[in-house]
Order: sequence, then structure tokens, then C-alpha cells
Amino acid sequence: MSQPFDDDQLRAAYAPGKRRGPDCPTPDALLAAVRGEGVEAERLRVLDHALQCESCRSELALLHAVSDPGAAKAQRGSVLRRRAIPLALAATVLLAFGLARVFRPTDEILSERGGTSDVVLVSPANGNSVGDSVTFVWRPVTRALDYQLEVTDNEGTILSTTVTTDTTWRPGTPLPPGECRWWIIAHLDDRTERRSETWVLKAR
Amino acid sequence: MEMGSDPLSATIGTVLTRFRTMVRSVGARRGLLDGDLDEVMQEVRIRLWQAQKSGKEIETLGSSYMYQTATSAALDLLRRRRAKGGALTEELERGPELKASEPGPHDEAVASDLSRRIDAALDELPADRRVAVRFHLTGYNHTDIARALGWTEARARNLLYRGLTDLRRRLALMGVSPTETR
Repeated sequence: MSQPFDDDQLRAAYAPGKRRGPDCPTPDALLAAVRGEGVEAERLRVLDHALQCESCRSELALLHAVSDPGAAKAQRGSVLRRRAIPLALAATVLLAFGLARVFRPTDEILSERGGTSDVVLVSPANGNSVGDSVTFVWRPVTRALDYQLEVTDNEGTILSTTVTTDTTWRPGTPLPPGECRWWIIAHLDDRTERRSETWVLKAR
Repeated sequence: MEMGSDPLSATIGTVLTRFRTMVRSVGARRGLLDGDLDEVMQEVRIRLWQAQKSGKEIETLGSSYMYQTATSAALDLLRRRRAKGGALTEELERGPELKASEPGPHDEAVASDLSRRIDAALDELPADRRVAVRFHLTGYNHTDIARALGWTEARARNLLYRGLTDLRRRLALMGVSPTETR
């Protein structure tokens, strides 16, 4: 099987080719989209066009660079705070009672990660069954500050998560019985991250 | 009073240089053209000059004032340009940096074909994943995607990863691989 494209190869090959036309959004519509204003469907439409159109793309880059990132960050921060607390509470409830399907997962916590994998998972091996006690092991990554481990059920609900500087971790409570997925995200010292493949494990 | 080499001009120059560096660092890999930025900075210079005349202390203007002024100047620039027929700034300096050697007609045809196939694969993705992937391929990060789409960063990250996985899968089904395109 041939090797898939990595991110750099895709970026190098991606060359927006559309030219200025009647369907180009106005500068004001572009700015609104950059700032995250208006209805999501409209923003998606505007941005989908702008990112494929040579003319709109440079205008988008200009408006993005000169519009105030601080205001959006502050707004996003409050949204994140509002969402983080219920999510943390939900995670605690799930861990304590093993109720894997208490709440419906949203896109934010549904995860199916794969692709480029600079983080190598070691144990439990992909597809293995585990008992009450499981220890996750992965290989160290150069320049990693810490590692984030996530375990989800098949619907993407987070069952267990931690951030550690170690390359092993054992959950404090047993995983609920059933099939789960796990992966690691390494946070590097240059503020980028590397992610592992997603491995499956079956908790008994 | 004219703009010249007086202390006020020097102050405006310093403020603008700092701001330009900041803005350029954000737009550098995302298609921001230096010519566009220069035009906006020139307009901001004029507005700062006028602001000073109306009694504002240039040194005390915060970054949000600068962003607001630059955004307004950029919008005006783009509107004017569209009104004149939408000519883009030619990026004369960037061409040689991007290409180690001049591509021949065959290379260009291959690149263009690959780009079309990537576009075709992208068109089959759901809109949210597609836009997240287009942002990523254009050089924007999770934070930018989240900001523009009003998503949390976690959602932006997840939709992007899923979109990239879908894209790779579709390209593989179409028989498009990196080795084939070399």
C-alpha cells in the first residue's frame, strides 16, 4: 500500500485556483467571517470560497492579520470556561460511576485521530483486551514538555484523560467494560503538538 | 505640519514598525502579501498623523486602537480595489523564494492536476471538515480556525483531524499518492 500524504506534502500541493468572480464575498463579509460573526452556515460558505479563490485568499490573510485577535480570544476564553466546567464534571461522573453513555457526545469531544504519528504507542497493544488494571505506555518524544492521554468509548465520549510528563499512566479507576480507543498528544516546547495513532482496546 | 524627520514622525515610525512586524508574523504563511500590508500601513500612518492632530498621544495608543485602525484601513483598501476592478497586488519578491528552480511545463501540469484532484477530494467532505482542512492547508492553525468558525479549539482540532483523515482516504481511493506525483 502506498504511503499517504503528510501535512507538508498536502500543503505544498494545495494551490487555490479560483479567480475573482461574481460569487466572491464582499470585504465586509470576509471580515465578519474572519471575526466569527454571523450564522455558521454563512461563515462556512464565505470561508470555503475565500480559501479556494486566489484573490479572496490574500484579502482574507490581510483581514485576518490586521483584525484584533485579542477580542476574539477573550470571547473564546469565556466560551471555553463555560464549557470546561460542565465537561470536567461530566468526566468525573463518568469516571466515578462508569456510565459511558450518560450524555450525548458533541463534536468537541468526539475523536478519531490518526494520520501522521510521531508518538509511538507501546502498550496495551492495538486490539488487546485488558482487565481491571491497565497501564498505558508510549515512547518518549524529543522536545515534549508533556503528554496528554485520552481514552474514549466508540462514540467519542471521554472515559479517561490525563496530562503527564511521564510516558506511562495508569487510570485511577477501571475503564468501563467494552471497546475503547486511546491516543497520545505530545505538547512540544515550540508550542506545536504531535499526535499518535488511535489504538483500540477492549476492557473486560 | 508635514510628515518628516521630526520626533513625531519618528514616534509614528516606531509604532508602525512594531505593529507591522506583529501583523506580518501572523500573516506570513497564510498568503498575506507584503504589498497589501505596506498599503495598509501607509494608510494607518496617515490616520495616526490625523489622530495626533486631534490631540491623541501616539505613544499612549493601545494595540486595540492600532488593530481597529488597520482593520478599517484594510477594509477601505479592499473596497477601493474592488470598485476599480479588483486588481491584486503583485507579489514580486515572493516568487523566487518559493521555487528552488523554475518548473518546466511538465512539472506545472503535474502540480496543477494534483491540485485539482485534491480539490475534488475536498469537495466530497462535509462543509465543516472541508473548511477546517482548507484553513489548515493554507497555513492557519487551530486557534484561527476556531476563531473564524466560532468553534472551541477542541472542536476545530477534531474536525480538522477527521477532515485530514477523510481527505487522505479519498486521495488513496482515487489512486493519488505522493510517490506518484514526484
